[in-house]
Amino acid sequence: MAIPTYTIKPLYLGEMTKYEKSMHTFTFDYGVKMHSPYLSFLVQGNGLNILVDTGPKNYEVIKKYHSHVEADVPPEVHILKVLEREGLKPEDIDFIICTHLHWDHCQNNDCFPGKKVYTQKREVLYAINPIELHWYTYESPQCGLSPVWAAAGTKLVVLDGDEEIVPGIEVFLTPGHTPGSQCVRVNTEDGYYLIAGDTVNIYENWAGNAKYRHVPAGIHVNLIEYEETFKKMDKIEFKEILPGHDMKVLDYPLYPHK
Amino acid sequence: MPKATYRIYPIYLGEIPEHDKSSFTYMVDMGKKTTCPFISFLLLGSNGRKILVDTGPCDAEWAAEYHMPLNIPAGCELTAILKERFQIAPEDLDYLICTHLHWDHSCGNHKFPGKKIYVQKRELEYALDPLPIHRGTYESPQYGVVSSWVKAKDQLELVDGDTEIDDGIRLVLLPGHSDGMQGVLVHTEDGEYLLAGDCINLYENWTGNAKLRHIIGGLHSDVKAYFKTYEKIEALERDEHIRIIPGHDPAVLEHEAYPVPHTPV
Ligand SMILES: [Zn+2]
Ligand SMILES: [Zn+2]
Repeated sequence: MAIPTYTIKPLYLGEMTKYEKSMHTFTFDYGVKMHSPYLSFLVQGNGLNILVDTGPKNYEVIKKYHSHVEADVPPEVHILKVLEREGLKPEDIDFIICTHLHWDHCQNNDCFPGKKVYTQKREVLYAINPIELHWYTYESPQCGLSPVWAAAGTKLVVLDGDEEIVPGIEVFLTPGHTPGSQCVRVNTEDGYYLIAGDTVNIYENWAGNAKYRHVPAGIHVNLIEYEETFKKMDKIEFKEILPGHDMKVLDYPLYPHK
Repeated sequence: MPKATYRIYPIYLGEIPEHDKSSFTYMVDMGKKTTCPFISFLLLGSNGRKILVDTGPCDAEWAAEYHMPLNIPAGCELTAILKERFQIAPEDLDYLICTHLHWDHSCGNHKFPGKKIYVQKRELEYALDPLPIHRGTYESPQYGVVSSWVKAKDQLELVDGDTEIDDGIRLVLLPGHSDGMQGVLVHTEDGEYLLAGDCINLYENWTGNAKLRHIIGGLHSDVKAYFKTYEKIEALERDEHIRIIPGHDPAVLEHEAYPVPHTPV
């Protein structure tokens, strides 16, 4: 039986307007500021609506807890509004995959009560007790916040490594940016696409530069694991990669593109 | 209790004139430029010991080709300074300690033939096969050059973890900036001093800011291990009231020697 195919729609959920580029490309372009979007991906096919990441909640929340980020997140690009324009209600989403549990990727998980949220065990364990440097990034209890991924009504499904979620949708554990980051590989009519989360923030991380074949994200936990992840990803078959925070992802409304 | 006490003399060996400050303070002050002085430390013991901690950078031409432009003023060569300022020849040293094998701390290692150089075993293991992004920093074999520490590799005296190597001289493993970074705990008349190497680049790394108790360095391999190491230094502060001397802070050079003599009131 043929493996089902899917399409991938990148969803624009607002942006960071003056983001320090070296936070994306570790040790490169210090002081350079860039526009960097918050993204979710709507994966559709085989009768399923799958959401990869749920994006930031709203500007008020960002301003309050993540004041170092200059962001533009108007209400009309909230995930529910964006899905509405796609003709989808929260109950139409079959399940969610979270690439990792940083706030900008899971802050609307509570908008999908009862829906399964696939995430990695290592990510959950770290998110509960991160080092001080990452408290706010995870909105962890240590800084007095309540992370949305643990909110009432949400339904975590905890994975332990690489796994097929449904035919044609697989996740790969890719530690580095966070201890339990995962990439999502989607089978399309044009081959595999890899939704990379923040393991690859922007295309340049994967394409590399004159010095390095791949460049790790500026935010990371363990660069040795990160390098192992890059080696693992070198061996994963895919046609195109979709980074977690690159405006160029939005050049095409739908993947695979012509 | 150690019997010997030491005086610690910082020695200035030039600097990187344009250094991104966030490579000292991870994710803090990105795009802000600062200088990065190279500092070796001479330890002179009441028992007559002469110990050198770190041997500084390569010369400016080598750095321009393989690293970055440096400013090394005339007279900043390590053996010349030891001779002129301290009347110490290389053969007069008892031994050397390398906090870690980054080029800016180990490029003078070959200038002290026959002398033992204390390094952590983990540091050597990592230096031989570092991550691609650290190959230049170590001048590792994969980088395509033969670094000074490789030339002097037969002198390396490997230690495995925290070790008391001499009366009043203890090595402490401080992974983070590099995998096998070690600090040197030096017994002085004024208590224990920690030469923190690049585990603490600047005083600011330790004093922190409004949001963070401490700020780790921007150059590192394992952020989590770095935080564990800072907990270890906190414990030393609590238990032994150590004083910290950072690896690259210009303010370290404001004093000729540590402990700084008390000025009479
Ligand atoms: Zn992100
Ligand atoms: Zn250094």
